[in-house]
Amino acid sequence: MDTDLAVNVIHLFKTFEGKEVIQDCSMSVERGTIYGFLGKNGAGKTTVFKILLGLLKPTMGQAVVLGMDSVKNNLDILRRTGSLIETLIFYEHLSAAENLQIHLDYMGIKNADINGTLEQVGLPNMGTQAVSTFSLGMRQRLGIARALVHKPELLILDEPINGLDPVGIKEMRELFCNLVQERSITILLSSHILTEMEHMANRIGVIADGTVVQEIDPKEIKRKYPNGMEDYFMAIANGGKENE
Amino acid sequence: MNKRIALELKRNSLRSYHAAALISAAGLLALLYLFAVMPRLDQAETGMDMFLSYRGLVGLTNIIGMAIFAVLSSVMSARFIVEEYAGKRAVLLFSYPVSRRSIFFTKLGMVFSYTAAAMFLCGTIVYGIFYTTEAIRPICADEISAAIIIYSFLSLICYSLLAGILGVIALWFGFGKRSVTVTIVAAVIIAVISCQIMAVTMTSLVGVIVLLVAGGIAAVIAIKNLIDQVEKMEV
Repeated sequence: MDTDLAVNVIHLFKTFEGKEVIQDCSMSVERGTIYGFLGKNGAGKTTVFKILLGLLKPTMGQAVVLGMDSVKNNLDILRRTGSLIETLIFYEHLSAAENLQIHLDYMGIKNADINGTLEQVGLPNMGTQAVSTFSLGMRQRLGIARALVHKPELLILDEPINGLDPVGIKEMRELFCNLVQERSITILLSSHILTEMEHMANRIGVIADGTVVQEIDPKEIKRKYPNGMEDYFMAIANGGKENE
Repeated sequence: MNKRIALELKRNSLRSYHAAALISAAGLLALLYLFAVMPRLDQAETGMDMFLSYRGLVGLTNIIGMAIFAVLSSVMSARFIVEEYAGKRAVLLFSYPVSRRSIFFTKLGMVFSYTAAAMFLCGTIVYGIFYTTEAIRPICADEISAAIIIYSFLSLICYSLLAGILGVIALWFGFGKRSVTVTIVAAVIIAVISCQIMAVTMTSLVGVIVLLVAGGIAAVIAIKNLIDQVEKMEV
């Protein structure tokens, strides 16, 4: 088992009602890096994330997260991972800090820095304001705070910058880069904002029709496609496999 | 377990359920006095035998209480359990490093305990007030005795547990469909059917205990199946 890998997906298959949503999917994420996961809507990004977190069980193949099997060691993986998947669900009548406190209680963690984390994601001094009054951008920030507050080794973030304004996007980019540099966290994230992926990611993986068709260094993309990520994405997301 | 119950309480306020339980208690008290006074209202009316004894009055009140609290239990489990496991909320629930079985048990245990305890407490208040006024100025033709008080107490315990059990069975129907509506409708139907059965054995404690055991067995089977469903859930 490669200990330098935070995530290692090996020939993964997932079938829903006879339809193969993930097929022969393999990918690897090195520790202490940001891995940008790209793909069209319905390509299978969220399904792969859910398999990594044990929310879905693979039909065939294996997903190894932080050296552990995603099915057998699900709870250990969840303890060491922070995630933001699909629609953000909160306890609407409670404040941001109370939401984070409940999360920490479930995680079994005491004395975490709730206020510091809220400040980190740009939600300082929220006081007792109920989450139900939050804007989409604030909810997104709170979702990121929840993924972060228990100091995980791996962050799995499904479109974390959705709903953020340009300032928010820039702040999150800086936050993610700092987390990797200062705390050696590994971040696996998906987004449709290609330029952000280009700026943030150390490696890009593209999934099409349930298969990772390419894993590549963003610098390589820049060299091959000087006009930017969009040309690259268009060329590859429709299933065309390119040589690195 | 206690810590997880505390977490559930932090996430979900019980205030509206406390209010519902208190309103139910007031309604049951009013009904109990109405039943007690009925033979006096129309003395020519026949078929009032069940209202002439404390056993009959307590039996009837307990049956109605059981139906009310079974429905309250279904409303609570629809909110605390069915909604939490339906759709996107389940993603959050399953993202915690706590076993699914354990979280489910906590929720179910809380709903069951609340239902049974709320009905028992409300019943204790209702009968406490009723027997006190009966001791001072009786309405019912029957005589209060220690045996009657003990019977009322034991019967109340049995019916309180039955209310919780019926709530669990209703949850089984609703959980399968992940539907709040199905949970509540199932509770109403089960409560109505149970009331019909109970009406036959109303004043017999043995009859209630037999139904309690039968209901308990059905609830255990339902819980086992519910846990299997939760363990296998993919979200």
